[in-house]
Amino acid sequence: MPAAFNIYDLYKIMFDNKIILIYQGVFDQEMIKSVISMTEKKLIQDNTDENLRKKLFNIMVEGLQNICKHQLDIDSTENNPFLIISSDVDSFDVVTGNLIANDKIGIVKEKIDYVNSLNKDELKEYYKKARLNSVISSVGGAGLGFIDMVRKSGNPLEYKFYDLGTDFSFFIQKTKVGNSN
Amino acid sequence: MNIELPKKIHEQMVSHQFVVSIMGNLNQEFLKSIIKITDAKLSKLDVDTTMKNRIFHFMVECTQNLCKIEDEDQFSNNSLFLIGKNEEDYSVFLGSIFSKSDTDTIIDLIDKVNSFDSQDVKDKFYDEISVNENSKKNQMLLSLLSISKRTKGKIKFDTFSIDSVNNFLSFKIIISNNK
Repeated sequence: MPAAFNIYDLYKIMFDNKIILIYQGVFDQEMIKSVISMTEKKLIQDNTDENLRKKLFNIMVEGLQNICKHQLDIDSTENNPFLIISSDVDSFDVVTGNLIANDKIGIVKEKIDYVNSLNKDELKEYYKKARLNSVISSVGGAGLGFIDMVRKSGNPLEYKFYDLGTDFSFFIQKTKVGNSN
Repeated sequence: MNIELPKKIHEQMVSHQFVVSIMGNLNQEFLKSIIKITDAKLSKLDVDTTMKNRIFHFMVECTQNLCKIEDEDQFSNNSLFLIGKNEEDYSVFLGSIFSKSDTDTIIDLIDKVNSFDSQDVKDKFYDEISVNENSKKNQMLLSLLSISKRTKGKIKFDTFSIDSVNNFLSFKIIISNNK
């Protein structure tokens, strides 16, 4: 570990960006339960509106299940997925990051761009169709998670793929959850 | 939050070889889950039970005793917990916000505990338990003695001033298979 590591720099980044939780490591059902339970307590303590809490939990569950389903079975530090939750005045950002095989990027990008382009009614229709057809893609899902996140948050999904120079890239996805939507 | 920021945080985690990083209010319930997850992660890395127990003991002492001496405040008792791997050693960090007066007291106590050899640490630990004094200072000393006794190493620390009344204080232990 480099000697110059300064734990306070990291803490300060988190504090300044109002990050209330960061978890990097193994994700499983047990961890999802723990993270949600811990977040719930924190939000109740902060008197966060119940409606906003529910929305946030829905988005968290979708994001964490995506990580659980798609995390690659390559266990090393640099491949660890992560979850970051930050809070603002009346909204939260839920950010997940995980490795993705380069050949899956196209289909994921296409799904997100498509759901981002739809309005509320179109999303509802598309959700119904996707559920009925429920075509499980090679990425592991029918894209229902993405549709659900856009519907429940009322905001488009932000994403970025970082090329790692290998067969894999790092996929970061952010959902803003606010009370206004 | 700018979407570029999570990648920067992740890169920092990767460059320092952190195998587990958690920031949040490490209350008792969450701590139990974190220990389970850390256990699973360390098992995958073939860390033996003795080393794992030392790491868990450090986490419990820091979060349940040392950090508990602070009241709820604007920082909402946020603690940062990190485990870094360096060849066969594990560096375990736990940082949190403390008032300046508590920081001074803790640092004095750490210096005192670090000046003891392992037999002194044991003797002092049992002496302090038998005193049965429930003061804040006694509680902190007991925790530090307990950490030193179980981890068999010196307790390292860093402090950073946040404002006129608060510091960020981080505890660090290095646990290796050789001990």
